[in-house]
Amino acid sequence: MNIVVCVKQVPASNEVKLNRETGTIIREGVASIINPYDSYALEEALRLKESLGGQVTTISMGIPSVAGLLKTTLALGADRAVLLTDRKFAGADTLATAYALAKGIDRLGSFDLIICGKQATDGDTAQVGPSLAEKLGIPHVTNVQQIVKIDRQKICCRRLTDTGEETVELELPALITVVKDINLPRLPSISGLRKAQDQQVALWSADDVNADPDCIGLHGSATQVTKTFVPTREKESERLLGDARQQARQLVDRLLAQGLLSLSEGKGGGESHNG
Amino acid sequence: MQTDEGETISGELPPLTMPEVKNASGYYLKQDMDLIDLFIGSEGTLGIIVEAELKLLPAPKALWGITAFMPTEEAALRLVRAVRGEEVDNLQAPRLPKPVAIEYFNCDALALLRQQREHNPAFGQLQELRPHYHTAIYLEWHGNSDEELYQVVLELGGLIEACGGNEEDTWVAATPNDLEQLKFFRHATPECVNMLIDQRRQIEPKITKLGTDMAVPDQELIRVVDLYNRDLAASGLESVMFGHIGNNHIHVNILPRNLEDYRKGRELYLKWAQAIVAMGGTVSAEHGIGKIKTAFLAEMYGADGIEKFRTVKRIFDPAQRLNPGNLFENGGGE
Amino acid sequence: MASIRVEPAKCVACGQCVGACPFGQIQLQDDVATIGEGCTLCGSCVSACPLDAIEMETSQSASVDLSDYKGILVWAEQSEGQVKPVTFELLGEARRLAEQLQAPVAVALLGEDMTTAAASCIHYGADRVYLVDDPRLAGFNDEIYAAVMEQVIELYKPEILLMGATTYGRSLAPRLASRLHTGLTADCTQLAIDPDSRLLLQTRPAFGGNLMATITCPRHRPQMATVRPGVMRALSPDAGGQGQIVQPPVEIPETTRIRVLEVCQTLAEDVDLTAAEVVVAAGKGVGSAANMQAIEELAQLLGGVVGATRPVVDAGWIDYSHQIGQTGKTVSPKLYIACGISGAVQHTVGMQGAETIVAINKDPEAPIFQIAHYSLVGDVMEIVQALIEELRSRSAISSR
Repeated sequence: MNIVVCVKQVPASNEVKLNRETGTIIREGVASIINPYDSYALEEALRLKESLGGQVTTISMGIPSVAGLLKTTLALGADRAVLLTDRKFAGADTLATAYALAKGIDRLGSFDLIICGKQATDGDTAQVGPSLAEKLGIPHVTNVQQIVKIDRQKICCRRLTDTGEETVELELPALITVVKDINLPRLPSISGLRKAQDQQVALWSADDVNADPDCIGLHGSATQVTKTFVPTREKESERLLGDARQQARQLVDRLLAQGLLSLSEGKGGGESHNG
Repeated sequence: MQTDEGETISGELPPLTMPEVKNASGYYLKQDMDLIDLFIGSEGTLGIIVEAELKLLPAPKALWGITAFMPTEEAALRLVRAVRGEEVDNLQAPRLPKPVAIEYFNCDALALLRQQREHNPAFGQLQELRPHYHTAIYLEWHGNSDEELYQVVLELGGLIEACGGNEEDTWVAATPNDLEQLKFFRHATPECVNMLIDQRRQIEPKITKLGTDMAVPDQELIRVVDLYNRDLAASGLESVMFGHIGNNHIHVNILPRNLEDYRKGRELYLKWAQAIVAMGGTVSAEHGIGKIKTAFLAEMYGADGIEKFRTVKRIFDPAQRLNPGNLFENGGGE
Repeated sequence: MASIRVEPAKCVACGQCVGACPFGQIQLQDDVATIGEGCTLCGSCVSACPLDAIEMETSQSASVDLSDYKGILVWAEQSEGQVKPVTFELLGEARRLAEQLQAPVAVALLGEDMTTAAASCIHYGADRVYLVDDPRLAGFNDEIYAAVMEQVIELYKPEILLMGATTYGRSLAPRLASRLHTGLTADCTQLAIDPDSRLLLQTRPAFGGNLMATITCPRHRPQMATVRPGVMRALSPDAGGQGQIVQPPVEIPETTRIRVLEVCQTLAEDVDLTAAEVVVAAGKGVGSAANMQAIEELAQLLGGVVGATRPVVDAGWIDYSHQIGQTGKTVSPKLYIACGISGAVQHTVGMQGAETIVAINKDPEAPIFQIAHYSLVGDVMEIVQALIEELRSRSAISSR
């Protein structure tokens, strides 16, 4: 079973602080980590490898320093790691990212399964997985919470939907995106770190993967950011004063006056009596 | 000492011999000391802090935490001593930089965690504890770069193997999320203990957790762990041990199942206090004396020592108004 | 290759771009802004520069003849013949956009026995329904649906395609966009038409949700966007609405590599969060899982339901179905009480449509207070308890 796991570098905290006066982002001390959803993808791949044999390859697209993060995937047990890194990849939207990853995966050789996190915590678009499956011409299923069964030909997964769950069977090769309930990712061990120390992360440029320059990076992106702005917040606001009791009393007064509360309908739970 | 109101407080601080260990028992008294050390840890008996200015240490550029699971308790103790740079058997130990923390979780603590992980969804996010993990040692290093700590951890790996462990049986955390997991693991033991005691108190409200807080000098570590183990085995009491082994400061938590256990546990506690004082240790290294452990403090410093503490208290609190009954029984007030 | 350039003659080193760069890649050197190697060409600095001194050079040639594409298409998601409410919400928004574009609104409806469903789409504002009614389309299947949608789009060439950001929509939309080689913007919170260029201006939270980004798709068609349920407003249905039902000549694939073996409906659709008039929401600031009980009680006293932020759901204090925000539900109740919620944009995009917002937080500087109508500062649980007691005592009086 050859498995490819797509990973992305994201800021460790998505609650990036904003300086509201200048509208700028305070970046001090924000570490970079593997997108947490991708950790579940990697863990699932490692477990499949442990039970079925085969190879796990991690792949990412990003700036050269992402290689350090890919090294961590080697320490966790991935057999090889590839970083697509090239100025020409910069500015990619999800379409151009999926294309670049597809070209990288083409160069890797044959695979049975691709696992991605359901989305990245920085962009939350959840688009690259399905878009990549399309570029590779393979079926996909999103939001997988359990791999029920897998053999050489097929994978059977349970996936979350808006209203419950579904059991879906896909012919391999296929792509799945996983949610966080699927497993508990392991931590690296010292022996893993020792093994990874001697392994190299392959750095591939756009030319290395025969990427069409018209399909990668900002130039190959269909979408463009035309404007960014700090959300405007213009609301009349009243700060209630006093201790907890006083504030609570004032709030209830105001909500009653606005007609937002109706106390006579016995909403006081079991203790209130109508009449 | 001059107060803000211009009042002068004067007095003679008596000399005291304190144990050479991490200590939170009684007043801190030393020749040519900074008076602030007298107030810190005085348990509110000398004054009330109304304003404090804190000096912050710079946050480390890199912080790594490692949990090593050792196959036996002896191997775990060897690792602790080797990491501290002590001579251990014929071990050719590399010199590691000093860790900022060395923590310990004995086999009973791991067994309790395994059990809770299985049955309590609140601990579902705990990493799997494999059956051959016997004793856990958590180590933390601060450094200037991840590369630097990477090398430290590789050397630690060699040391783990030399002490009888396996590099594979380790968790290394270098990112905020992974560190959070190790923190969750460390905090899970006392949380499990508290939950268990809460359950038992519903049946027998008179029992409480019996948690020790004693520390001994480095050279007594092996002896004190041995003492705990022997006494606990002989008593048949249920217990877990965990804590700050880097300072030879292990919390023994006795988990009484009934009043009889509770009584036996209290006896053991007093016995250990005497033994630890004899080893040159302290009866409380962290949590303080309060009102419940005043007998232990008397055990540690004798009637003489307690009288010295009373003298100090009279200098600052002649009317004996502040936290009466903490550290020692009131007496000799004006 | 695309590139970004600072025009030294125009740059006065005001530093606006330095702060605007979400990646910290701009420095002022010798009184000129200099862009570092880690630049991702996101374009934040271009819009931040007050002097137009930063230029992003991209190729402007379109890959297709854009003028061939007209009108708005909405994918009508349905389940067992019932059209999902998000479809009607998108139709409401599509009508608004269509007015500016002077173009028709159509829906693509795929399923089995869809006649009633088709009529409901017309009632909610569709000029046309492209109906593909076939047993093979009864259940959702990414592969088959993508193939049919591709043909519908090639036949009718809409300039805009809107889809609900539901589980299926978020799965199908990127697959389709990738196949059509066009742009897709996920989870838009606002849509508008640029009057000069006719481009769809798609606004969504970006860069960890602290900034909003307006995104366009200038050179590819259709311009695709997904929108979460509850974000847009449906028109009131007009039973006399006129529309045309068209059955497009499409081929439905005979085979598929995806088979749905079992469907379990375990969750009540949308809990009742999106429809609730009162939402009491908890953030990490409530402190512990145990405190959720008081939040629940407050919600009950107010006749409302409990919502939560992502960290609270991640911590396992409450089920995901209660999550509000960019990766959860969007709510617009009459009254929203935010307890211990700092107010990160990821959360506020899911609730800023609330009519009255009450914020309770211990940090007076918390961003939530900037969108709140009533601000209560103090220990969150203490205030929540005080509110519970106040409500209890008042309802006891009023019901006497």
